[in-house]
Amino acid sequence: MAGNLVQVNTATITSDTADVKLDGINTDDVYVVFASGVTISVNTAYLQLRVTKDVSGTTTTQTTSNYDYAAETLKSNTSFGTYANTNQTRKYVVAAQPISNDTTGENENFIFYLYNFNNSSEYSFVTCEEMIINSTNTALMGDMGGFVYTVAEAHNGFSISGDSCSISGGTFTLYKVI
Amino acid sequence: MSNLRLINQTTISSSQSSTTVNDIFSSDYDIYKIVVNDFLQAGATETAISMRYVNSAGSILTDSNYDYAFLTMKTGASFAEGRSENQAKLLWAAGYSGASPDTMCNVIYVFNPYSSSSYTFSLGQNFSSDFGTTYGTGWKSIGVYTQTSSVTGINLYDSDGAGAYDGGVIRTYGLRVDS
Repeated sequence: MAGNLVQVNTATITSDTADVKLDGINTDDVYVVFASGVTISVNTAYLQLRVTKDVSGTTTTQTTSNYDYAAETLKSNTSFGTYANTNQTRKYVVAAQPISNDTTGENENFIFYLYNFNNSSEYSFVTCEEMIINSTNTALMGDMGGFVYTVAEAHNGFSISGDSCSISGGTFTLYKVI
Repeated sequence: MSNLRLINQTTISSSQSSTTVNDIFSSDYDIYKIVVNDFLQAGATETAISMRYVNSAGSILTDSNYDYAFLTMKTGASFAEGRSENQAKLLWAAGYSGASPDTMCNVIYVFNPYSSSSYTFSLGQNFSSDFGTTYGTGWKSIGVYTQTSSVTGINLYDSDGAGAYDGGVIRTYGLRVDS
């Protein structure tokens, strides 16, 4: 039945980790990443999103300036914003809003659908649904949008990493949609 | 077997303006997918369907600890933003009920509801008829219940008092993670 999810990879983070890489994409199916209870090591820091590639047998996060993204940033406390750019080295989570983790209960939660990752002749596309608590005003914020990595090559997974911080907690799971 | 496991299916077959589905969140899952479909209005007036959480005692949590933001995308009018903090509900979390053939569809993801160390987050998308108009409206929404108390269910209800509904289906799935 279309819409079934089959687990491909998972990572449960309980200590500081620079880069959570979920690999295992090896078919032309659509894949999806769910992340829940994500926390970072430095209050007010940021998270960033990238694709990964198999480089001589090692899953490697791709950091070239080929990320184009666009999103609407929903905010519970003020007017929404638009977040868009081209030729960047990553998409930041929730428009690079600083993330709050200094109060018990605060964490980040995400859903990312991954398209065309296994196809070496097409770009890799991602739709993003993200939620954080902003550290400046303790407001709920979320990006609804997506990004494309404009290099026609096969990608074997997805990377979530800290900018000026590590990932200190959370469960990250990659599923194949069948 | 799919990692998306059906936990509960609740079918509405009588007129009501508040529906509680409890004992759906547990320690078995961190993420839940709730599909709300085909809410049919009982009278002539469409009804806004909002959401609150329910605790293990069956009490609907009506304290002012819900924050939300949503973007409404309308087929016949300009898009609009909605937001608020410290409210007693997640406004319009399930859109509007409607009269057949003009009903509604919703998907709501809930994160960490059973945890006693995490807020409960939600992420939703729905499409239904907009109250008092002739056009359709899609909602994209985020929400958080800023309490670390464990919640075990949801309550969907007519939050604008416009009228009851007498049909609909609520399906709750858990997203299994195999360690």
